[in-house]
Amino acid sequence: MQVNAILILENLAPWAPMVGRLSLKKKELSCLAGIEVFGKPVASRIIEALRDRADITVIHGAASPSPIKERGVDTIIVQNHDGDREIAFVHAVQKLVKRNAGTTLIARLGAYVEFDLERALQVHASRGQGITPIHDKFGCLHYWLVDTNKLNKMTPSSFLSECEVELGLPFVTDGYVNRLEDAHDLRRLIVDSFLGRCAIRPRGREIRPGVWIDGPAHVHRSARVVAPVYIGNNTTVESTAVITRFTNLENHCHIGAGSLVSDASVLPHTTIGNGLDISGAVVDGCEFVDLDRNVALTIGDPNLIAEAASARSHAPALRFYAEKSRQDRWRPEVEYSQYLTRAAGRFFEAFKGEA
Amino acid sequence: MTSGKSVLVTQFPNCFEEQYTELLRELQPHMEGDRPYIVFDFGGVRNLDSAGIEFLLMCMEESMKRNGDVKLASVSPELAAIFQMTRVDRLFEIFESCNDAVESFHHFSPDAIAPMTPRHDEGPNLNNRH
Repeated sequence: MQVNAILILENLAPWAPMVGRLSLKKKELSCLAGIEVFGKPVASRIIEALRDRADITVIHGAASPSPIKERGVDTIIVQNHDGDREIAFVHAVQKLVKRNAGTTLIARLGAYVEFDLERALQVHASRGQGITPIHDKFGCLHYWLVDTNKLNKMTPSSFLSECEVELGLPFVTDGYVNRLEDAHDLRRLIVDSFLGRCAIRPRGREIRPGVWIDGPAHVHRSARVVAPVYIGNNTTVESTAVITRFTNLENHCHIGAGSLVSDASVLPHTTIGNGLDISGAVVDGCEFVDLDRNVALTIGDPNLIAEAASARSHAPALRFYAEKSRQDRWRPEVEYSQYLTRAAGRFFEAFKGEA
Repeated sequence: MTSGKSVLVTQFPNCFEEQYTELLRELQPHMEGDRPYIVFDFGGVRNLDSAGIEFLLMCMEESMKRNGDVKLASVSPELAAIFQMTRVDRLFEIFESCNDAVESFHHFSPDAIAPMTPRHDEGPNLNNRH
């Protein structure tokens, strides 16, 4: 049974409001599904899973970090959060209504859900209700199966209020669910993927058990890479760096010499300075989220962490400027980074008489 | 800036390099004495750059040369994250309040928090919520 799907990606909120469980206020606005996990946005993976069964339309904001460009998928990119998104939704629905399409899956991403679409459609059809929400055992996942004729002239907000009024019996999935509400959820998705608890698998080549390298990556011979680890396309790991414990370094990252990256996610285009300890964290450009302390901070010092050149700079038209900026770009100062060595030297000086 | 006995308690400035230079000038007489004990109060400081970390290391170096010590107090979680990231948390004793830090100079205090948080020795965060 072929269905239609409208996937709505909300705008990506800054990291700060969605750290840990602190993020209650702006949670509705945040969306981690646009973030790359193992070289591909989570939303693209959801599309991949639905592609064979559904005609998909994706609505996402222009500010999304990784634009969704999938073959055979209608993508509507909107500028404004509220107004344009409503118009795009109405446009997508009208197209479906014209085609007299039967059932439509509407998802506000959001959550990464693995569910049996076939079974859900059967349940929806057998119950004869206009809207069947898809739940897990903890509640609503913002996925709905809807009779397309019910959608005519609806906006997302009117659709949602309709859902609230006319809630049919939910289809409860027992598949893998990750709500992707905050940085903790993102880390859990990565760990679960490494452990094979969900369908997401790292892209690229598994060069040895548990170590994936995607495309050309530069890992210094003295760097240590301890499985399970994912190293993205065009990522550089400098000398004596240690990458370990469910860490994923996404595309175009740079890990400085002597740095330790453990149980952490380094998102695309991030530069990490020399001699740092990045443990239990998510780093996105100059945004640093410490998952143990549940705090997010913006590091203003490029000696520590910084945003690398963006993907745009790799476009042929911008290559000249990118090359120029690469020449001017900050290079880590070697002597600055040797905190431990220097501090150890100082301690030795201080205590050598007492040994 | 307040001082009690030989322990100097001083507010750490927000990250501006000029302020570090000024503070260093103020601390210089104390650090040149015998056993300079210094407590930096980080109350109200939310961010720290590499210059600030250099400054801390320099103060520690100068103090230790004269058998003194530098301790940190009232460190916010944000700063604690930066200290951990730069591995400075292993070098300094960190206290919840300035009083605790000052007390620790006079007798051993089991309240010293160093490192600030448990390390990741128990494995990755696998708490499932779904």
